[in-house]
Amino acid sequence: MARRDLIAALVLLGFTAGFGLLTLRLPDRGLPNTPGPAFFPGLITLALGILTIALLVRSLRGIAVEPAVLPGAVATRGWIAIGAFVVYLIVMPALGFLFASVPFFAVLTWVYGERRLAVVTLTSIAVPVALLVIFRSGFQILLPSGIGW
Amino acid sequence: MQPAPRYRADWENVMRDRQRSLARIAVTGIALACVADVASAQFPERAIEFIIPFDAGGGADIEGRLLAEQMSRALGVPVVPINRPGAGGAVAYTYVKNAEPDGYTVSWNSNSLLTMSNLGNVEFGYEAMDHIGRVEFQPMVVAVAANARWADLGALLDECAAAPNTLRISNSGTGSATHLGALALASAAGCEAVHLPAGTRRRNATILSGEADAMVAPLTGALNLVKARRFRVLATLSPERNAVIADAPTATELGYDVDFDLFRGLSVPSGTPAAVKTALADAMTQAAQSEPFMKLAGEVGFTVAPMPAAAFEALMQTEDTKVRAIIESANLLSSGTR
Amino acid sequence: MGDFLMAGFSQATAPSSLIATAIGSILGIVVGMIPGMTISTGIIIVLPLTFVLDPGISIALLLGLYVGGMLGGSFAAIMLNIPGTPSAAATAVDGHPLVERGEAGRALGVAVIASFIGGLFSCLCLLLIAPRLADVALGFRAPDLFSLVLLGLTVICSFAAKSWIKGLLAAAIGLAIVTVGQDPVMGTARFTFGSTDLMSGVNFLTALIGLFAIPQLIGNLASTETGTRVLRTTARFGRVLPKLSDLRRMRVPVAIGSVVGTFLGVLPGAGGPIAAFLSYDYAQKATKNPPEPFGSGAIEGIAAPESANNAVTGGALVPMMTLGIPGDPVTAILVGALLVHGLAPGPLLFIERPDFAYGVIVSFFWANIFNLLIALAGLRLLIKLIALPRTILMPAIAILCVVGAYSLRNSVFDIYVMLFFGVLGLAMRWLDMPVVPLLLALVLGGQLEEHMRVALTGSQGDYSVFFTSPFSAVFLSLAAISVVWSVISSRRTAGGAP
Repeated sequence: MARRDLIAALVLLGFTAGFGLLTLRLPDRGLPNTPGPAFFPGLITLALGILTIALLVRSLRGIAVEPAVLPGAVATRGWIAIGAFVVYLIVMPALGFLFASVPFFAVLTWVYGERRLAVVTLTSIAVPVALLVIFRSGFQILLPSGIGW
Repeated sequence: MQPAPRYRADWENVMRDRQRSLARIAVTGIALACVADVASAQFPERAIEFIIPFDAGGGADIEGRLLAEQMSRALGVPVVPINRPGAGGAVAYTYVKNAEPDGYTVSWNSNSLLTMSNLGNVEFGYEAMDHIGRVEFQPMVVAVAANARWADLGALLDECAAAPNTLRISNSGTGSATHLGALALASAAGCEAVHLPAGTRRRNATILSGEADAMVAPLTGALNLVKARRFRVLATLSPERNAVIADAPTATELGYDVDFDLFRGLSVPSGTPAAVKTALADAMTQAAQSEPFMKLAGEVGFTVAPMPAAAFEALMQTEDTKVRAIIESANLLSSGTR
Repeated sequence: MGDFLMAGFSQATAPSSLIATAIGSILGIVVGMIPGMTISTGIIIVLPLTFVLDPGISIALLLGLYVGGMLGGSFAAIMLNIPGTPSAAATAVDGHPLVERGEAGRALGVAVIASFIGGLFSCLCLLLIAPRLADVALGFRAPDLFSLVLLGLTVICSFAAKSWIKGLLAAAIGLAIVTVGQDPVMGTARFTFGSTDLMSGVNFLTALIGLFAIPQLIGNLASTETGTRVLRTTARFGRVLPKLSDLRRMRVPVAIGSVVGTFLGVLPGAGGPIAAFLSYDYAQKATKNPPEPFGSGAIEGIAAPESANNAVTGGALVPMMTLGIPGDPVTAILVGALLVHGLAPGPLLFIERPDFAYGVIVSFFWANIFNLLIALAGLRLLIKLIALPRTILMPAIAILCVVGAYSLRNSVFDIYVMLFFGVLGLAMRWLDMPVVPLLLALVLGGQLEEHMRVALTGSQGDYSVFFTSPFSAVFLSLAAISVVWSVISSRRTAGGAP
């Protein structure tokens, strides 16, 4: 039994069912003798359904070698990185690009293994400032501003 | 070419939404204390967002950016073009409708404002916004391949009437102005055609591949291929002949009662103070008649004809009625929300 | 064609375009070279710029990056035995042994020359094939286009995955995501749950940033390879310009690689890795009694895959330019960059904007020239960049992902969409499901639906149009063959396993 494939098949089965249900509830509009907006999603539901069932059947029969994506200790750092990303995105509208990016950058440099405090501090200020200046002055792209720039 | 300025003000608006209710209370208080004119007398005192409901690089975008640049000269503050494409204009119009009615958010508009609301794709109509005025208009054209067998519009429509549901006319999308133009033309000729919703990207190609017999397109969208002698214009759907293609007759001239022009103008959120609207309208007229804008008009084929707000709103009302009538008679509105 | 070529030439040879090409090429070589970064990473870095630059300049930049990235990937493969891009894996086999013998310069020199010839050959093919193919494609009608896009998708799936189910599933998930937003024909809101942000759907560029950059950023956490190892070997660099005898030995392998690479480049989804290994294999068979055996530093073994993976770039531009069908993430981005500027790649581009269409081809030519010059002139300097500190590089890329996602439509919401696709990309990696079919489904899904509905509108609901049109019938049969072929070949590999 291929555990990951089984999990994926079950999740996809749920997704397909939901997608199909929403497709059924789409309005039918358009010109006579032409497919409506629900036509294409309907076909996709069908394709998804067939493929998911194929995956389900195979996952129950097959044997799979499933290597870990990341080794244990690294996985923890991976989760920290993703967590930092989520927090970064949540606070950015309020803080603005610069003030949100500096701590985020610092956390990431640490996650990637930089331990020299001076380097972390310097780069986590310099890089976001440089990006902000390049984009604002060079390309006239205003990045999110919030309370500061 | 200079990089086009793309100032972003999205985040400010996120915050603005959150603070809006508090701000309302404060503003009401201040407004009571001040003379109402003070705020608008100073208009504009900061950059104005000029929302373009279409992708960067298209015709509407190029025209909008140039107008914004010229308006900025007239007003003395930056008028910053911001593309908010998507959903046939619905994304941009929804954004502007919900913006603060202070004149600092202006929308570049077109017939899409009428078509998308009448199709029921958004739950508000053109009257949910205030309008500054029209800037330009252009006719829609009926075009066929250069070597097509029809000598004129009459021959095309006669064939359509003789063999219902065989003639294929492509348009920019079901419910778009070009589709409505084709529907109106067919109904004026008393015939039934197959309308191909080829989309703006494929519309011209369907004529070249022979997939469609004719198409209805904005003049600016067909002009390149007319000049390259790949297309022939049989008629315009305009009340008067157009100087850019003066030899093309109007449908009305030929006895088909269709008159349906494409306009572009400016809209602002409902409730914008009158003095602000006047300032914007003056700047708009000045920008429209500026030399660079007139030059662009000559190159791509639209007609600069600024129209004040009252006349523009009257025009929109007439056009809205036409749009609704065509959509209802074609039975496109089976799930409308309006 | 002559006039248009001249117009294209003057557009692509303007100083600003040439500078953009050169910058792209340098950037490409650098990102291709650094382990843990790919051409896609480089493209994500410059993506926000392509929204504001003139389209001709953006394309010049991106093409420089594409061509440079292929070469940079081989530098890493040769110097570190870690292919910087998947396409460079074959080059490492014979390239790295030469480095260990202290002949790094020789290996790199051969790689540079082979890449140049491969790239130039594919450029010539592009110039000769593209306008003619565009002429043919001009005759395609909606049913033909539907079948063609479907064929593109199935071919991509069959090349992308070890398991046919997972390849097709990835594409189907992509197609399901495409339907979010307004339907392409009349604008009915689908699966938007009343959100205006979802009304305009998911832009594939946003999705691409998440799908490619985020799993890579996370994956790089595990790798401890920093590239400092290379600095030891650069002490014995040797001469870079190949000797005449080496050039003579390269002739046949480069010819093989150029042809194989161009041909496989045209097929969507086949791309660099397959072309590189296939031409390595052919070169091995074609070379009798090499002075060094294959696998231990044969010049032929570097020349063949190197010319092949750069020839792929020109080949991949053929379907992208003439049909609007990209075959890999890079050409997908090129399509996106053109669409942002309202220039839809496809046969009509050659009629409506011939100056621009030919300008792209000329830019590609310059990209190859600059690549050669920059690589030869700055080789020793560029190699040192392999050791750039990744502790700073990776966070900077993370922030650039956010900037890129935001600046596409000035939308906060798009940053969240990008993150969603990042997590999806991680889940797919966990599942060993390929992301390329999903990405290309996002690029092509809208067209697929539009062509299908236009075709059925034209036929008034008669489904036989897809089989009665000769083009369409051929494309559909090829699509069926590619699915059957991938089912059979994955059965065979599964049967071979214990």
